[in-house]
Amino acid sequence: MTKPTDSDDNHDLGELVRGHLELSADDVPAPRFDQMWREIDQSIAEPVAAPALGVWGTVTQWLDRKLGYIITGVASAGAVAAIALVMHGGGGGTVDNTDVSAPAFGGAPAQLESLETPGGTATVMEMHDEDGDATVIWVTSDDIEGQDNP
Amino acid sequence: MKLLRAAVTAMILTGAVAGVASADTACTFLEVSATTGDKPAIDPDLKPLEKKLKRPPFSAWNVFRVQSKHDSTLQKGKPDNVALQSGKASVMLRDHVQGRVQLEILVDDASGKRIIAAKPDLTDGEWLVLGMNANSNGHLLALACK
Repeated sequence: MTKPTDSDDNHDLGELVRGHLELSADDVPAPRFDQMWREIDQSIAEPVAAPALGVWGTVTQWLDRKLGYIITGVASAGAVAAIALVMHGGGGGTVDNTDVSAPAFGGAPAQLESLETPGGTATVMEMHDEDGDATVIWVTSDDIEGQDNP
Repeated sequence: MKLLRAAVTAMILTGAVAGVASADTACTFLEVSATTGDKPAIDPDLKPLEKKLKRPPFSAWNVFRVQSKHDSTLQKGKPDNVALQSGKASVMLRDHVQGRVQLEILVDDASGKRIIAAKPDLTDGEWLVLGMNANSNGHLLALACK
């Protein structure tokens, strides 16, 4: 008699799960299925085209979309720098870091021991290519933040 | 004993080399205007940054002109004032060791209001670009030291 292998066990388990799911699916009324498919269709539908943005709107939109780390207001510098990072669009939680590295797209990041942007919001990013590395600190004035067209 | 003497000598020499590096840090500071024009144009001085200027967020503009250029040799602990077309800046070398340049940078706008105060720690030759909005245009300050 042949001893059952792991592969056989997996196959049997798969059959069992499939059979259970098929029976469960039969129990769901057709209208409920239609509703589920409508919800799925809506969730994967093409998004409605956004209204045209101005130059500054394009920049801030890109920053919002691409970068999660926004350094706000006045970041304090202690013995070891502490900078408040706010997850932009993520509920506004504040995190204290003892050492802030720019969110890197590759390579060793530069470090900011402290950063203060009074009256503005700073976005820190790293850029890498064959010409070398660059750290970018972009400051959006609080006066114009959120404006689509300057 | 010989080994100890060699170790002490090596430490002194290492310290001397680090001291020389700290006392002699060449920096280039570029003030750049970013605008939109019919024909894309990037100033030749911005060649090292050309590829980066074609990527977001800089790709919102296509004309990059150097408004002012400032070359200086920074000495540790001595602020170097940089006159800008729009505002002013100050750069101070905090330290330069093991291929890392530690700076303190202060940037004020034309009205004297502080925009940025930063203490970056960069690798030799790495560019630091400070970007600010100026109406629909961009105002960039690019700095590299080695």
